Amino acid sequence: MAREKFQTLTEQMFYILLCLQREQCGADIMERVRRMTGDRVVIGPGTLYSLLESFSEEGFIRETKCEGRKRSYVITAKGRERLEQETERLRRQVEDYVRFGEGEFA
Amino acid sequence: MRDKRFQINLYQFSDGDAMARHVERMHRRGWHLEKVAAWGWTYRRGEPEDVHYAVTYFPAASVYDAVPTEDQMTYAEYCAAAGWEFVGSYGPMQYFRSREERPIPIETDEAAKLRAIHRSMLKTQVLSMGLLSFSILIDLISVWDGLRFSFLYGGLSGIRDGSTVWLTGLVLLCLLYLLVMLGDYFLWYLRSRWSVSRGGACARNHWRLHLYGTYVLLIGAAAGLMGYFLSASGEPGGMVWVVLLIFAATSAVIAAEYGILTLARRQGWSREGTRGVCILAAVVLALVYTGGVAAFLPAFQDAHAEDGHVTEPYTYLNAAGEERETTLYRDQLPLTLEDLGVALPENIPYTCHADPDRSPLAWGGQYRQDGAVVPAGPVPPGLEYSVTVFRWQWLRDWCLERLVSWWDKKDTGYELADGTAWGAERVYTRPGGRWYLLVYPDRVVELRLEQVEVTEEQMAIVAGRLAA
Repeated sequence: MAREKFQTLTEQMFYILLCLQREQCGADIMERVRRMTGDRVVIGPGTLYSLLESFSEEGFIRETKCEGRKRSYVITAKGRERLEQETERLRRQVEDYVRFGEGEFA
Repeated sequence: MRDKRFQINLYQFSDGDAMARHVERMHRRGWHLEKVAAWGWTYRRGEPEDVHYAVTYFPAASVYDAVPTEDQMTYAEYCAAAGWEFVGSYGPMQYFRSREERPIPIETDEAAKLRAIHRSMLKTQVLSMGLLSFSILIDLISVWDGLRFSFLYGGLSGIRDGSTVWLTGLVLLCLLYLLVMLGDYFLWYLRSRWSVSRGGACARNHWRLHLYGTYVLLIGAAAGLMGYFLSASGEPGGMVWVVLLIFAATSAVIAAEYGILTLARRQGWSREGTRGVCILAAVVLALVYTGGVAAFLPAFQDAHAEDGHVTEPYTYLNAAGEERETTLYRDQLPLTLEDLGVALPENIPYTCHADPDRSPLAWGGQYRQDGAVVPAGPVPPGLEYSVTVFRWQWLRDWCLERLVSWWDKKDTGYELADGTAWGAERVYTRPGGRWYLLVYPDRVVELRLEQVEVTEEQMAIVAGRLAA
């Protein structure tokens, strides 16, 4: 189920992993993603919590420190690989659009 | 003017959105949510405000936790960072409030939201409703066994017995409620999963079905219990207190269990400790309750055994020459041996016992006239019969078929005989010729005659007395 879940990353998953290329406190991710995307992608706190939990279980991220209830995370090699795969998939998608979308089917 | 108010929560557990809208409306009326409990909400009076509420699900939380877990607090902190203030929780259900005009929703991923709801539902409602449905099914099997026993040894008394019929109806209603609610939840889950897999939102809940279903259950349960006790006693007037007593005992058991849970949580016990104590308390309370009811009901029925009967004491000498006392019943019977022209031996005291019955399905009674103290020697004449008037003819046919087929499995099954002289649609007899099953359009008469060779004239008298 979990593997199937991450076959394609949603925008929210994508940006959480992107944020965590640098160590980050969980609660700060919401604000950072908003700024990164100019308010286009908004992550709710409940969703953030469950995605961080799922990513940890999957080994995409790891907890780096826990100060009180403030937990910080950073992406793992496995997570980075998954992020790169997704980026590659999106890049190909854009290339296909450029190749076919504007030519053959326009 | 009171400052606090309690409200019962009748929404389906999985319908957090509807609960959030409800407490939002209450807040706009000046009732601020203060506490969330198993049965509902506690509000405190405040200024009417336009605020947002959200109900989310945290599957790892448990009702047995004394305080929110670290994970739960981390979750609440994420929510606080997004402007959501934690208000309260009960088990996995978490209530938050935001005063922002357009707050970020707590759940922005429908798949994650659905997963959280489903995991919470599985460990709480689905588990408890499933266990309850299972125990009701076991209960129904014993009721069915009782009915089968009744067909074999009590004739049609089971269907006339108000207690059995009301109790079976009540149990069936509970089972139907549980199955509808479980079915409704799983349909909602499947619809939501389909919608979410296509990028949509979770489906809407049928909150009206749950709300009205709960009303039907509560009203039906009250009617069923009332009917049960009224039937058990046959005394409509004085029975209200017994029903109230049972309601009070049931409420006390539920309150005691909830009290133990609250106490254990206040003591700060671990989740496992609290759960263990609650399960143990539930078992002990259930045994005490069942034992109490099991002792009380027969004692109550015994105490009322002679209600509605005309009795007189009768003293006699037994075979050893000792003085003994018994009770002779002097009830009015619709048919007596005297009506049939049978002469009663003068040395034997006769008792006339009438036991009228009424259930929502059928009514009538069980009657007998026989010797109360019979000396050694030939068996004196006796008469025993029951009349069962059915509400519907199909029910008459169904019961007859069951009764006859149960007896067919025995060596002494019923045989079809000519019913013309009895004025009946048809008549069944059992070998020996003393047992008759007289079938009339709206009723069935079970008749047993002891030491009486029934004549055509007597058959007409029976029809005239019992078939009208």
